[in-house]
Amino acid sequence: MSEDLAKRHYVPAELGTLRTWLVAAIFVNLAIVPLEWLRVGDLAMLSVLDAAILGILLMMLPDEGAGGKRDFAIIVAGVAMISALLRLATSELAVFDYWARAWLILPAGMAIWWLSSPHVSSWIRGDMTTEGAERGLARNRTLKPRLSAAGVHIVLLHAVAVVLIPVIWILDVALSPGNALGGEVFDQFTGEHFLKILGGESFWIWLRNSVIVSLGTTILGLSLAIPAGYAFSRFKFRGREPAMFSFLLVQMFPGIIILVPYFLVMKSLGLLNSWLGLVLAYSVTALPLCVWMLKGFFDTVPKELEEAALLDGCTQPQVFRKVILPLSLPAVAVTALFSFLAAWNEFLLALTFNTSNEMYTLPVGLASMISATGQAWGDFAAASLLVSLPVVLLFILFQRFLVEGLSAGGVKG
Amino acid sequence: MNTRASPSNKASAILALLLTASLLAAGNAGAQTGSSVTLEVWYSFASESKEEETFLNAISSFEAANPHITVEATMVPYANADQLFMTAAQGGEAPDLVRLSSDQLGKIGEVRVDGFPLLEDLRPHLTPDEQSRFDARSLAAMHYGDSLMGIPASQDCLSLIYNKALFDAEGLDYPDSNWTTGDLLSAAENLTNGDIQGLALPVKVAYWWFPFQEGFGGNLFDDNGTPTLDSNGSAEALDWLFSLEKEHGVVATGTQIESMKSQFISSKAAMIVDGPWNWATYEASRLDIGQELLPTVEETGLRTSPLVTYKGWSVTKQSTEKVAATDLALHLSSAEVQRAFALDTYTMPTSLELFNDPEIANDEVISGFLEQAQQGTPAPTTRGMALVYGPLGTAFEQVYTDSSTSGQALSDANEELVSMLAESQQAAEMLLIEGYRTATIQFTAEPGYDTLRIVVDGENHSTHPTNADCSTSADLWTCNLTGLVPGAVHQVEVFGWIPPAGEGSSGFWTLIANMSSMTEVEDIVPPPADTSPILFAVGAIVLSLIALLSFLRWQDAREGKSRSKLAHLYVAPALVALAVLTFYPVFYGMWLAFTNADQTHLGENAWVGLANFVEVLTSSGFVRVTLFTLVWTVLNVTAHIGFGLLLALMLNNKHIRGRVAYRTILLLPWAIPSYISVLVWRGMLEPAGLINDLLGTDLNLLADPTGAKALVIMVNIWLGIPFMMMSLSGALQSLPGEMYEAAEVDGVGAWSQFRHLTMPNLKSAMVPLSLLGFIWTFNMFNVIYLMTDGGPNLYFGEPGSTDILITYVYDVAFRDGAYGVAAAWSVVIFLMLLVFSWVYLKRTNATEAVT
Repeated sequence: MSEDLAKRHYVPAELGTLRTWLVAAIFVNLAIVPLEWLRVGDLAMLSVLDAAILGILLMMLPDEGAGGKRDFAIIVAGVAMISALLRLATSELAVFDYWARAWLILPAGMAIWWLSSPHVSSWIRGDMTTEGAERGLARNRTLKPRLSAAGVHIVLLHAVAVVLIPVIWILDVALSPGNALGGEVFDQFTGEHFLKILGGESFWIWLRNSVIVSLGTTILGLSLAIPAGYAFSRFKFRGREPAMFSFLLVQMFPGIIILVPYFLVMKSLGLLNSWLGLVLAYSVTALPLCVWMLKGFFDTVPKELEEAALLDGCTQPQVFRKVILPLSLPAVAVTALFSFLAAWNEFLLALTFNTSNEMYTLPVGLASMISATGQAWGDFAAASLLVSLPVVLLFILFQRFLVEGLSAGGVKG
Repeated sequence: MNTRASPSNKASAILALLLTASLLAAGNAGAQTGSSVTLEVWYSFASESKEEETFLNAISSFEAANPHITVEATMVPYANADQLFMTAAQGGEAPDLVRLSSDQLGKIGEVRVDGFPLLEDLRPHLTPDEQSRFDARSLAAMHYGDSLMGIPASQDCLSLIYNKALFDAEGLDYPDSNWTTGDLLSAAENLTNGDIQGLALPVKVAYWWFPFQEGFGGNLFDDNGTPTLDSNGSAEALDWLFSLEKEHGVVATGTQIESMKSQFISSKAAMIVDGPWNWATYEASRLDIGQELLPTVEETGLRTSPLVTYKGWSVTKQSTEKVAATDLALHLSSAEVQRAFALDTYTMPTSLELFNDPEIANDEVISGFLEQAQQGTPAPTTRGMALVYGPLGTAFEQVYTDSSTSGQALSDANEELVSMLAESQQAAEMLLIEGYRTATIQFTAEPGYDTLRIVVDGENHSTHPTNADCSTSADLWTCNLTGLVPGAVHQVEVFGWIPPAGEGSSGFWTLIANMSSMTEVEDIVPPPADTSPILFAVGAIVLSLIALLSFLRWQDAREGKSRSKLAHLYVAPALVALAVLTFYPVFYGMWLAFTNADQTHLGENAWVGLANFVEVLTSSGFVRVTLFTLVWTVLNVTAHIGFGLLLALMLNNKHIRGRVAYRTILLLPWAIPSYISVLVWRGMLEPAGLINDLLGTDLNLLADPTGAKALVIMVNIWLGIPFMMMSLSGALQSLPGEMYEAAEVDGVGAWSQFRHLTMPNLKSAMVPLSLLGFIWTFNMFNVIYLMTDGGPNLYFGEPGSTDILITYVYDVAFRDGAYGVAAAWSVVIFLMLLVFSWVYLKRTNATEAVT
């Protein structure tokens, strides 16, 4: 019995993976057609051809017992590879050419490799033994996760590349002597910009102000938003919908027009040139997202949990503190990080409400490094990286709160 | 006041003096009582730069010489300085002294707040001799109309800078003052090979076109100030300039101001048309450079004449210490301070004394640039000059993209400028305070004195006939004296010049009159901004809100909904905070849309009903800019959430190692200040930039309307994905793992798991995220502003190709000063978002509570 089961249910993981990869490769080859058209004009049709060949290959992927198809598939794959390699043999290639052809060569190459491997071949021919099938199943168990992980890594590496290109550039500007925004990458190194920034007084003043204001915003913002989000999520009360909507309204009005009255309001409250003023302003700016996000997350916490706790004799606030909050920790963490960042990176209000250099925050300080007569890009890049550092560190710290597994003691059934 | 030092008037003079002194002491709001004075100065020298250092030293020396004056120097970022000044002035927090450039004066001169201009007319504050210390053209440039709005401290203009090493490598002679444009072109062609360009300049920027417009015989304005953008030779100049890039290839395609500097620094350009402001940077990059006059134009024989702009110190109208502030301004523009700036920072001086100074003359760089400035054309300080860049920019774009000829485009630009000037509201004339800091003296003198010198308190005041304001009838002389201190008695002595009697003897001055003079007229300071109405308004709003919440709570309690007893309480703090800070400004903004608010009469707004809205909705380009805003928003939000979700899902996979590293790296676009990342992207997308390198192409997409649209969207997508990725990660982490395990056991596939388990549960997080994402992206100002500033602008008087509603609002508000219209645009934006949000929330039932 087991032999039939094994033989019946075994499908080599390689084939499933090949299908996925080929679909992705076809998509990529079609997606680069507009770009190729800008680069080489009519030769962009070659990419269409590539996609077509890959499409044929996909259709030719053999099922069990289709031996003839397999040979044909290998030939098609071979054709694809040869055409790609031929195109790579021409001169004047850019990085993009290599990347684009890789999306042809690699899937085709893997197809040839796998389709000609012994166990896949025997499966296709239909003369697989039971032991072979059982070995195959065992192999699938280890191979499948590794292959899907490999696929994920490929996608992630692409994302990382796109993210890092400008970052590496900024790093280069920060580490190169002089103050140009450009030049050869990584030809000379110097720490002069970082030393200049860190050695000056201003940076530390800006840093102090930013830290105080951002921490204050996080604390105040969360204190205001958590109860509000909870109320919106759990209670039906008069004025609920207009209240929720009103948080959004204020974000819709362009800030530049209301700058002067905003300035006057802060002045009338005596909050110019003060940490409290900025903390209040930023908390209010961050409120809409915080309230709505928290409400959304609170919505996903089952009511039964609260009711159980209430039955156990907890008061409403205790339920909130002991049941809801721990479960919503990822959401609270994200909201806290967002509030912190909103305050950390905000420029316009910090500039307008502070008429004293002592109260400047980091973004304003950064902007002051650019003047009509001198754009110190090296210093500016170094300062920008320093400004990003605390955020990155905070984020790494917060990863712990973002880790799953907080459904300890959740509802069963 | 006419006074003479005669005994009968002395008593009344002393009495008047005492009275004035006590009035001054008791009076002026905000002024320091007693003798100590605090002045606030704003400057925009870069932080920790040599200029800042030189400036702060000058401040210290002033404080040392004037112990009763304390100076607080505040640095404001250069790019935002005038906006900040306008905001602070409207809020009554303007500084005493501010550094402005002559082209900013053309705009600020038009502004009136509660009927007062922003800057003080300095004519009564300065003695004629004090004014004569400056180069006449620089002083003229600091005038707006008849008013003197600043004391010139420096001047700037473009000139030719060249890299000696590259010239030597080709065996070419350095540029000299006899060069023609033909010589320039052939040298540039010889120097262009490989990746080295012969010349670096941004052909599409009007500032670089002016020198050649003048050289080909044209000018910007005629003697009456009427625009003549299409005057003779203007079109030829434009064609010649563009040919450098397009035909001859001596200028790299798509060169912009920043990239031209980078090119030159990395020795990839042999010559550059630039000002002295970058000289120190070039030297610091160890380049061996020289400077030469810009060439003469071959076809006309005229010398190219760059635009000369001036920077100076202005006293604000709101200052309560104008006398001290003027003294500080004079000190900061004095010959010694200007010398320090010139020698340490290559800032070109305007002090006549320095033009003959040996140290200055020996410095090749400064004297070279000064010579160029002499050949240059001072930029007129007029409203027309302030507005000229808009139409010119559009004209240049049209010619660059071949959608118009240079002649036609310039003539269209001229028409546009003329109509802009005709349509803009006029500011009320600025009037001097009669008798403020001025007094008239009269004396008799024997006839025959050709030259008189007036000395006040021991210092030279003016000379007749050079600069003194004197008239004479028979023996009676009447002179107006400026620069007096209100309430102080000044000793005035008038000397006449006796010419040399004969060979070997010298002439001398003889005292012909001696008197006291004073003026009691006080300064009229704009009343400080009254914030109590605002406080009342905010208080009223908050109280109404609290009353409303209490009422609703009472109603709920009455109907027996006891569970929600706490609800209103939980929500109240957040709502109150919102109300305190934001309701008043938003209501004010909405009200402004119904007024004719304009920079020429701020604080005096008249109701105009729906007129602004009509203008907005019927403005050409309204549909186009709205459409692009929608496209921009939808594409961005879809990509943000789509890619964000994809990445979040992938990073949720337990089998991937290094997830912390991945997440941290993928967070970077959000963590790094967008200012620099957008600028870096812009640099990378240039024809000579990294992206074109990787692609092996030479695309100049940012100059193309459609290409620019695509690129700004892509850069914003890059910026926005991390936030969505992170938020959705958080949401995903909240989903219980058992749900998926159960599904695995049941044999549910990955895709089905996603569709039926993940998505429904994510909905509660995704709805607010997508809605807020929509609202934020719709109003996302930074990216477009930094990348393209709404350009390329292909239509006169309309939004540019990459303008979205909010960037256009910015232009209308700050470039045109039409605040009422800008507010109307803002209300339109607001309504669009309101309607969208309402519909969206209704359809997704997102406001439902879980009960």
